[in-house]
Amino acid sequence: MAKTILIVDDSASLRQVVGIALKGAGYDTVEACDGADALTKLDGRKINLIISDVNMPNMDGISLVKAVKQLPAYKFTPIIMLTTESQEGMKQQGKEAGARAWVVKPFQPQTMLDAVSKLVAP
Amino acid sequence: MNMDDAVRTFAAESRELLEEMEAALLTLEQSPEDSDLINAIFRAAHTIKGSSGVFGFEAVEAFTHVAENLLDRLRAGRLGVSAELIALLLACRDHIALLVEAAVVDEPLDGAGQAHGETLLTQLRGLLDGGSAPTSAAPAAAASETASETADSWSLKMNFQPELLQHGFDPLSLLRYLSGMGELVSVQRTGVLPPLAELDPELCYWGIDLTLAAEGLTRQALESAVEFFQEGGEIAIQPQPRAVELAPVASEPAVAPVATRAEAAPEGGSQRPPGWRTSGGKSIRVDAQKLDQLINLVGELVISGATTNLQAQRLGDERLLESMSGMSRLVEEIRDSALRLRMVQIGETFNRFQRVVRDTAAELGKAITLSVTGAETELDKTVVEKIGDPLMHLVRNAMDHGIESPEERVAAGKPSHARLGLNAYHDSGSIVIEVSDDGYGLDHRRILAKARERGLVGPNQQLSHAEIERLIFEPGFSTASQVTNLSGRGVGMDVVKRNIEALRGTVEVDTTPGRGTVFTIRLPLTLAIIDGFLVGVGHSSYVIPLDMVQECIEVTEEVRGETMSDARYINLRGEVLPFLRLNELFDEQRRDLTRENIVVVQYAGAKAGLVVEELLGEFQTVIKPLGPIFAQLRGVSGATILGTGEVAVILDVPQLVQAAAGQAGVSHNATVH
Amino acid sequence: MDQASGKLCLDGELTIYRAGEIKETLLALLEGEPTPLLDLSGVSEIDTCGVQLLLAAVAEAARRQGRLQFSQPSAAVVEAFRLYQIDPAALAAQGDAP
Repeated sequence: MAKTILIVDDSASLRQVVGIALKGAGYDTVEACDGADALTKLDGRKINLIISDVNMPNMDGISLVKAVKQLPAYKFTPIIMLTTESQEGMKQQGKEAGARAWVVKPFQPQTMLDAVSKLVAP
Repeated sequence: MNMDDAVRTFAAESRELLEEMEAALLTLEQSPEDSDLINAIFRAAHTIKGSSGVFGFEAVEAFTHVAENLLDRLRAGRLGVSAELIALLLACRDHIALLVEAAVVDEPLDGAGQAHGETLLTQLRGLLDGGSAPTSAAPAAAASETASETADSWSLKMNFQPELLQHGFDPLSLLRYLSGMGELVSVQRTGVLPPLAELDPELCYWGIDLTLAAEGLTRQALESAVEFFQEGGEIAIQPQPRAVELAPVASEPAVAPVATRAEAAPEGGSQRPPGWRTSGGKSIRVDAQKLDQLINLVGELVISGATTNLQAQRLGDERLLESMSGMSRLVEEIRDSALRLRMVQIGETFNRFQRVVRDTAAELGKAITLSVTGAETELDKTVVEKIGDPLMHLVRNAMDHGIESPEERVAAGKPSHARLGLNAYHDSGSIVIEVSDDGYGLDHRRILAKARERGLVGPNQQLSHAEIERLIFEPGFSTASQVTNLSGRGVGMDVVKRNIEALRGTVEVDTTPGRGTVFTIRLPLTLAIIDGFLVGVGHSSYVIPLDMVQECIEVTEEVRGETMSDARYINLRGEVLPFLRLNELFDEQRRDLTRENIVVVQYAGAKAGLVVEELLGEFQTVIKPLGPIFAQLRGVSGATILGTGEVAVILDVPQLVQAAAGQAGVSHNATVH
Repeated sequence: MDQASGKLCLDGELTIYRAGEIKETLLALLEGEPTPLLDLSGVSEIDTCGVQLLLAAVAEAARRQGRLQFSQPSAAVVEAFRLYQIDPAALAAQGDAP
């Protein structure tokens, strides 16, 4: 069964490009436009990995990580945070929240595919 | 979904973000301290930079990156807002817009555009150099000087943090990934598993020593492969001469994993994180007063539209009529949309009863389950606010008197748990709310006996079951013994009925002895506006709600023969149709003795004819509530202002239907006054 | 599950989400029968937590002078053992994990 990746970013085009790359490698994808939207997607379906931007309206990535860690059915889901090199302070906050994997924005779609497959094989 | 679609999305999204950015920059000039604005501007630039990078639109990415750095500094408060800065940022925004448009059509910027970009960059950098920002250098390449080191075989010694698995990082996935890079010549687990009983099943007790062989494998590739597993652990990467087999290391005790759970304890307790919103920003809160004001204005628009329509018809100009009909359609749509804004689901009202039912059932020693259906049915907020009390009365009444004790139920062969139902649905312009129970049902004989005792029914008068059931809504039906009860069946039922009628609604009861009772409340969806049918009687106009009009019949000689007689009904295609003369009802002097029409109205299954002189057609109208002086007026539910400025009375069809039926059967005097 | 005859089928995910529950199940199994058979044909997914638990159970059986045997490992289990280079037969014979 294909593994399902939740892509959380306020940029629809970024979600689409990442989605195209992941689907091409055999993953299923689910998209959410911010943290709050992402939580509504954690509705019982199996999610094998979450990719989340940090800076988003409504609910940012750090709050999302904290929220996911509170959900019994999702608390062990690996999360890849998207950051920019100017956000070193954010990385520390994310670490405290429970985020351990970071990919620096902007990235090539292939880089993201590579990062995902290190944690979850398709 | 392909890349072209994604590029289109990128273009649309960037344009939108740039518009937001522009608006925010302009507002920022007025309120330079607003950090929300600065954040919004930063986020717009940040998002464009991120997505353009993913698409490989390097020109957009590179320029936006520098602008973003400046914005970051602004955000951190290391730079003040000034008119010059806003001007520069606006110019940058415009340049990003140019770059985006060029990128999506895959064309470079022209010479002038590029030169302008360079000028802006120079200005940006000038401001950035004021602080400390060694940012734009490529960071990854410098990470390891030996990154390019190559070997055909590598040894990896990995010790992991015990909480690794709780973060969702599984060494098994790493092994899978590495096995895709080359051959896993050997894999040794290090570390000691505690006895099963003492094992914390969520911790990682193992480390891994492995040898990976592949031709020309670089250190950089390996470092990248293990990057996510490095956090808090130790990973040593060593090149291996390929021929040499790694000595077994199983006996070598690895660092004993200490269960440092405190470190991994979830932050923030069970508190919801800041910024938690479930609806994802898809709805906004609006002051109810503003909505009421809007709906009032729409009402005025409807009236003024009707006036204009009337004028247009008088003038008879075809082109004017045509454009009026287009406008009328729009006004209608605006009216409907405006009313929908005030529509709320009835579910919230229904759900309040869960607690009431639970508590009251416990108090009464009864077992009652509330079942709610149709919770998503919508109705006007003003109606919802007023329906709570009557509903509460019916619910408490059902629990008090409609439902048996568990013992009685079992004795009657019913499940000991009683069911109380609240249901709602739409039915032709009305909302229907049902309160049902599976209890005793109404006892027709007892009701009739009580009604006779109270003098509500003559000793020899025969009543149908439906008529008997209706008696419980009569004022004065209740008996002294029931008055002590909070909500005795019969006590206050007349009040319930009155409250519902005040909302232009009706309430009916249907019962099956031994099986239960259903109260059916019918209410208009909104109290503000109705589609009416305008009729003329004497010198006045009356409005009949259109959804209750069934048909119009011209009174022919044949029909007149019957209507002039004492009979108060006509034969409508074999059906007995009671009727009322509106001129008699409202003491109108007849203007035209030759013409008469009957408007057949229907309400909740019963029909009646209303005799009028003129049929003036459909008419959309705003209901102006009548003042309290008119509260006792029967047969009238409101008033409205016509296009001509005249006042027209809106007829209360439910009351009229009832009155017509009553008078046809019982007496000549209409009860409608 | 048929613990009385010393045979247990583990079904579904053998992962961190169910690790606590599976640990208790395995302990209860060994409590009743030191030489049980563990049917792994229904395991749809297994992670390092699951592998650790299986190996700890093998060690626990040995400690109780018994022997835990795996039967019909599913494709997911076979792949995990292959990646970790664990030989189930050798394990059972040794009665211990490294």
